[in-house]
Amino acid sequence: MIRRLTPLPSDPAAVQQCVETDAPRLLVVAGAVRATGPAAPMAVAGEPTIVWVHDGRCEAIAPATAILCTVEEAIQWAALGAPRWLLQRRLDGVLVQYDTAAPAAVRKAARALREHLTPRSCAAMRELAIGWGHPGVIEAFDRIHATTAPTFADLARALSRSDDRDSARLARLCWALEHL
Amino acid sequence: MDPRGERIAIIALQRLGDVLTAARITDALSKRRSTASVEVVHWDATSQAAALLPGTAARHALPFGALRRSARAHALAPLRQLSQRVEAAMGGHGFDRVINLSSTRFACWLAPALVAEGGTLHGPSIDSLGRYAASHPSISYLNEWGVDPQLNTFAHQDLYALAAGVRMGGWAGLRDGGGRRSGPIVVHPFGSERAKDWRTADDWRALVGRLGASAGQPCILVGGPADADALAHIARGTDATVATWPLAACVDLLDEAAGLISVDTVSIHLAAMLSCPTVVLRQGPAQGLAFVPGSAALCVDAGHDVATVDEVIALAQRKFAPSPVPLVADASWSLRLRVREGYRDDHGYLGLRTPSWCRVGPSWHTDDQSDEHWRAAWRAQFHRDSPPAAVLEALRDGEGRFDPARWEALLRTPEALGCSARACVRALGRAA
Repeated sequence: MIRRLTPLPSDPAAVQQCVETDAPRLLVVAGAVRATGPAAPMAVAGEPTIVWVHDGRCEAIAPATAILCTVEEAIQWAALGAPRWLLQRRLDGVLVQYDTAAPAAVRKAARALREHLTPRSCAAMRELAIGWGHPGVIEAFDRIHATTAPTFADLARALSRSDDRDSARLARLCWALEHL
Repeated sequence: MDPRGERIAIIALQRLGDVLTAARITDALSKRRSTASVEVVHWDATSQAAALLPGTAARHALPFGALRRSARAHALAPLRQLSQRVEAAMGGHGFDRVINLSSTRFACWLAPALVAEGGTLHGPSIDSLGRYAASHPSISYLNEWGVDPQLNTFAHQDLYALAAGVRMGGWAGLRDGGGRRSGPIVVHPFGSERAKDWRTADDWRALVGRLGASAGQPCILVGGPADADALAHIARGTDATVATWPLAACVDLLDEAAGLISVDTVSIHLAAMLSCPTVVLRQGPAQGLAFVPGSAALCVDAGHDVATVDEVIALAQRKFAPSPVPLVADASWSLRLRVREGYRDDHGYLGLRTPSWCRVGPSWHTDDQSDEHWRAAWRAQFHRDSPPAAVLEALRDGEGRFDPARWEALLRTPEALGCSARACVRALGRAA
């Protein structure tokens, strides 16, 4: 029997931990001060960083933990490069979001920034794997010849071609994530 | 292996109620001399339920939402996070025994990754070639018939416990003795799926208002924090109070409660572990024997219509009364509903049967007997015995409402019992 995984209710007792910061002067807490601009706000452990692109009119609907980013900043980051702290967070995932009713300029800037921050190729993913420092994963990317960003299945197949026991375990985790 | 004994992981990666059903297994395994520690791997959203499991030395929460969210960025982010969590749980060596109580593909892929070299795995899993593997005939059965309310005759928790090598009956529950049952009537209106809901908010309001009046004390409406507004809406105009408490607080409430009325929720499993009398209003995917919470439950399964307010009140009064009272209800309910109470059979398996105080036609009792016969036949298969030919003939000729479908399914099943059934058919064909 394979049961369909149904959505879980959120745990109200769960406490989000704030760790990993290189700018302690800013604190990101739901409903409190949210950072804008190039300063590095705190990251929520285990959560992807959300960058919310806006034109100054729809900040209120941004997720509480999101980093607010103006259209001008998004264009600048996409063209000249994002701040170092944001690039470092790509390993844990960076999601660029915006209001679905936002004007075209916001959507365009957000998409440009997303292209800049989201790894779209095997080579870009391999670079992130180097940041992780796991030799089995780095080797696995050498065995993948995909033109787009590798999926869990691509990674699982590449990992399972290694004799390393740890790679086999990671391959299993990839298959598990494929069915999450 | 640790010289102090086995390090055991229980994988309970499902919802709150499913996690609670692991209690019997964690309790039994933690009391074995050969056990060094019992640790639970669960989703972070079910931490409250995992915290109630007896005998656990550690709990490892996997971040369901965070993994889903980071997977939207790229594949490495959730892989790195899951890998770190798994490594932290394994503690360098891994678990000597892993017991998987979840049949999701995620859990079936994950389970073997937690096993130490030379360790053993119980429950469902998926091998390195992507094939489903079962550690025990009860898990093979679970895979074949487990979710079908017409075919299945076992509670899921019993099948997982059997695969884990845990004795079926004899578990006292979360608290020995049970409470005084002098507390309020607890009502849990909302489950995790809308398909399982019973009637409208107005009907719930009528139910708690009239039930509270007849019981002489107000009802308590319970649910998750997200349900607070909807519960307050139901409570408006009645004496009922709303309690969106943590699960641990609900243990005390249900331990004292006169009874519980609920749809298929975590509360019915918690009540079962506290021997709290429960009326479970089941519809949609909640029906069948797979999700029977325990022997203290009266399951009211909807047929072509759900139970009315009057019928639920009558059944609750009958179930919650300290001394038997007549069932005051229009007899037409038996045409629309199926009312059965939970019980543990002589072998410790949970089942459902028609209560003795229920005046219904003989077909209900025929259906109950059919369930018993099928459980007996599969029980033999679980213990790697073959049922006698007479038992197979009884299954073939059974007159229960689901007997034809079960027999057809049995003839298709690759298990030994299926082979026996096919041999039975061939033998009878030759004799004819």
